[in-house]
Amino acid sequence: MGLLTSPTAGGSSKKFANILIKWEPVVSPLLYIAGIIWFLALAYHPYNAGTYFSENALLPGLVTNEFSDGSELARLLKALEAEAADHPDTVPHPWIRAQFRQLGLQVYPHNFTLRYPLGNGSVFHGENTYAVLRAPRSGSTEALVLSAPYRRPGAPHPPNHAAVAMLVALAKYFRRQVYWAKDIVFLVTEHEQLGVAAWLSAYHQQPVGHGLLDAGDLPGRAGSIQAAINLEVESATVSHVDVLVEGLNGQLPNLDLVKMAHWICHQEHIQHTTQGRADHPRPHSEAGYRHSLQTLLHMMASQAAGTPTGNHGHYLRSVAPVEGNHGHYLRYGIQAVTLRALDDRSMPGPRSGLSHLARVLEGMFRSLNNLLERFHQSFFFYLMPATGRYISIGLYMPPFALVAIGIVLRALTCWLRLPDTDDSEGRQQEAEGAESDGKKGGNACDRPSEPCVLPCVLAPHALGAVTLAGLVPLTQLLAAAGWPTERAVFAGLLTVSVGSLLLPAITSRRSALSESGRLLLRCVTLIELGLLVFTAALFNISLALIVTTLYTPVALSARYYSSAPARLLASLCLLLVHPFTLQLAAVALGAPALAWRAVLAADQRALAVALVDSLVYGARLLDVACTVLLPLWLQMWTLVHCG
Amino acid sequence: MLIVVNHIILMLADDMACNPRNPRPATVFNNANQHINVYGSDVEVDYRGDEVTVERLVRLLTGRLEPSTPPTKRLLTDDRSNVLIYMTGHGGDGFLKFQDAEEITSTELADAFEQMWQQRRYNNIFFMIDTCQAASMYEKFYSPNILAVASSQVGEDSLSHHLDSSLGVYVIDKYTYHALDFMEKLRKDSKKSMADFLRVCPRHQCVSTVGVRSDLFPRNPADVRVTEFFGSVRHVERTDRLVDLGDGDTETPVTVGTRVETAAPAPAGSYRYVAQFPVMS
Repeated sequence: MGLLTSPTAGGSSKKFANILIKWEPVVSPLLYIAGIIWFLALAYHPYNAGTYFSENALLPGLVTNEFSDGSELARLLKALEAEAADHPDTVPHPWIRAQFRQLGLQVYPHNFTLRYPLGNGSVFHGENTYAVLRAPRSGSTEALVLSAPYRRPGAPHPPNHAAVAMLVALAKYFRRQVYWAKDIVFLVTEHEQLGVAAWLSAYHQQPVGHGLLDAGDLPGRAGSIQAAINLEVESATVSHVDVLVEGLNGQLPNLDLVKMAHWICHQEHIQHTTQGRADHPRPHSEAGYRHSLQTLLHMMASQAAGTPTGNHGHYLRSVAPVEGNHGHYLRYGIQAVTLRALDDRSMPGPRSGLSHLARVLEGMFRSLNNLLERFHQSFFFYLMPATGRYISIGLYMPPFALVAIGIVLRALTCWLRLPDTDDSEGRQQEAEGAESDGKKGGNACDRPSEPCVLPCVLAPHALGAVTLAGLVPLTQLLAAAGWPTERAVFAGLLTVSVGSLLLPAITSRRSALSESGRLLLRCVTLIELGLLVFTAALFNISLALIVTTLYTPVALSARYYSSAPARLLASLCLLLVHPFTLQLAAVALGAPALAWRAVLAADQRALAVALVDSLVYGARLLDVACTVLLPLWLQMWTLVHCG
Repeated sequence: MLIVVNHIILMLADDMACNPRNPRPATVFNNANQHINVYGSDVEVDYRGDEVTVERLVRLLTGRLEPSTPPTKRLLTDDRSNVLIYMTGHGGDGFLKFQDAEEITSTELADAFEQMWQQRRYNNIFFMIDTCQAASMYEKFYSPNILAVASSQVGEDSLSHHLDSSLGVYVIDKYTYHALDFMEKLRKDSKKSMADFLRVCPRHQCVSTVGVRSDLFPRNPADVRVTEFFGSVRHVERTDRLVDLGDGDTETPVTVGTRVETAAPAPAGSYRYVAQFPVMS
């Protein structure tokens, strides 16, 4: 603390301060580059680790899977498709319930209501069906869930009838077995993620969605849910099974469960992929490395988006809808993955039938049935560059720290370079006050000797908070004028983004920043950025790393340049990493084939979806972007433009 | 090959037979062929579930049990008794795991045996253990008359024999499998010696190296019949000494077999039942 409170006092700390001030401008960029190289190297096969089973109780793949009733599956699928064709506008719940009831399962309906807050504020009703197979010889204290979303014909998503038929066929098979130690819940949901979120909310009596989602109560329950598999089957022939892992806000399921899913697919000789990508046959080769790196970056892009949409972040959902309903289980501590069975023509290799897939699920459920405790071993924080490889938190944190450490070092040197005054304690207090507490900092402004940075910090944060809070009323207001929600959100954010560029002019008119004031503002900005990225790294490394990689260079170089071209260049770099620009870039990168007009439309949709995700599901990306990232950006903008 | 049930004290921490995951309820088979149900009607589990703790085992061996413990849960041996101790489970260097919470160490076990010896609770002990690094469990023994065999040496894993693919579990360990195979071929009048038994499961069958410790055992294992430990074959000695069994009125101890009981004192006066529910006034 001696260093921070009194930067120039004492001999040794002053020596250290001088060394830091002298070498930091060289060291920080070097560490940044070293960190990125180190991180990229982690995708190389020898530098990451093979997945393994940490939970011995799973005993995966040791049983002979016996499901063989392919004809029953085909019959159910045909019947369901006929039923769906007869009732294109509703979910054939009566048919589904009748099937489960015939098997002697306990069948319950679940109704939920969403009061859509945006635009004109319509109300959506939805209905789920779930059937509980009670464990024949144990108390109903634990449960497993097998869920599938029902999709009406004509929905933007590919049909999922085969998965629902699979649920019924598996229920019939499971019903005859005596070895279940946990209840098995078969859940058919409506409205994609909303149905799952509502059902889980009702199951756990935990309200979600700020009162917008009325999940009601459930007429029947099973035990505490230990694990869940969400199933999507797009066709009756399967080329490969994609295992989706990314959940809400970048949460990931336990690696043991992921490994088990891949392992049992492997045992049943079904091709399995992660991020829709199979493993490279020669991972040690250069091509193999590039392949792994791409898989890793796909996962990071998907995780950073923070919505449970599997292998394409939320910005892509507007183009090619992919849902990963497993993502909502994770927030309740239930480990879950989505298995997405596809028939991809570009995928080489043999095709499997549905009964083959049913055996994979049988194997998984028998394995999960063996669990004696909740998943608690293995890893919850990892990145996967291939189906059987992982980069654990212990491996990715050091390179991340190297990338981000420049922010902290630069903040330190800024602090050390502040001109010495007699009242160093007072300055520290003011710095603290500027960061968080308005009252204390307000007094600091009265002292003429102290640099006044408070407006430059508070104004952007206030703007960010107002923006986030104002989006919903804005859509309601503009809906009265006939604007669609998507355009209203887009226009609102665009107005704020453009309008806020004038913020430096406003704040600097009130109180011009002195040299030391700018230094202090830099220091505060860097500390807040460091706080953001290091905190985010703990639960969503992908988001943290992307933000750090993009923001560290501009944060390090954000200061007032006296030459106009340099200032222009700095402004341009800043504009490139504006949260709004980044969002647009992410959409454009996600769908490179689209024309700019379509990209713009996709971006509008993506922003509206992000707002809904934030309001209904509690996805935090938009919140963080508005309340932390945008203000930080504005502070940097102020730094560049306040002469 | 049979040992009378009431001479066996069985400690089972897991209830495999009644585990809901067992596809054949209330049975446990010795191997995947399901010929022998080892959980038949002749099996008595004396200590089960949470009762199986290190403390209980040590108390059982050393006889320091609560007075209320029924005779079936007591060892009740004396200096003429040959004791067979078989242990299996998850082991490591110098310990055997009990439940998920604790383990017995080789030192604790050695000390328990020494107490037994000083309390004259055994004549010979034959100690069998089938765990990983099993030999580490008998290394600390220092009491006389103990013959020990272990399925693996320190640093070695003890492997299972085969998988039951309907259970999804490995069902029997290699050493136990071959030891059982040896036993099944024996009869009560068998002349096989312990030396034959100690040769069971050579390295090509077990993969691990079976360890034997015979330095505490005063006799040559080749001269000891297997039936001295297995099969409840009693060694009968004739005596010409007259034993006074008493007439039931005295309070002298009465010797019945190897168990010592104290006759209840004669009732003094007559007794009557009290009212079942005391009347409150």
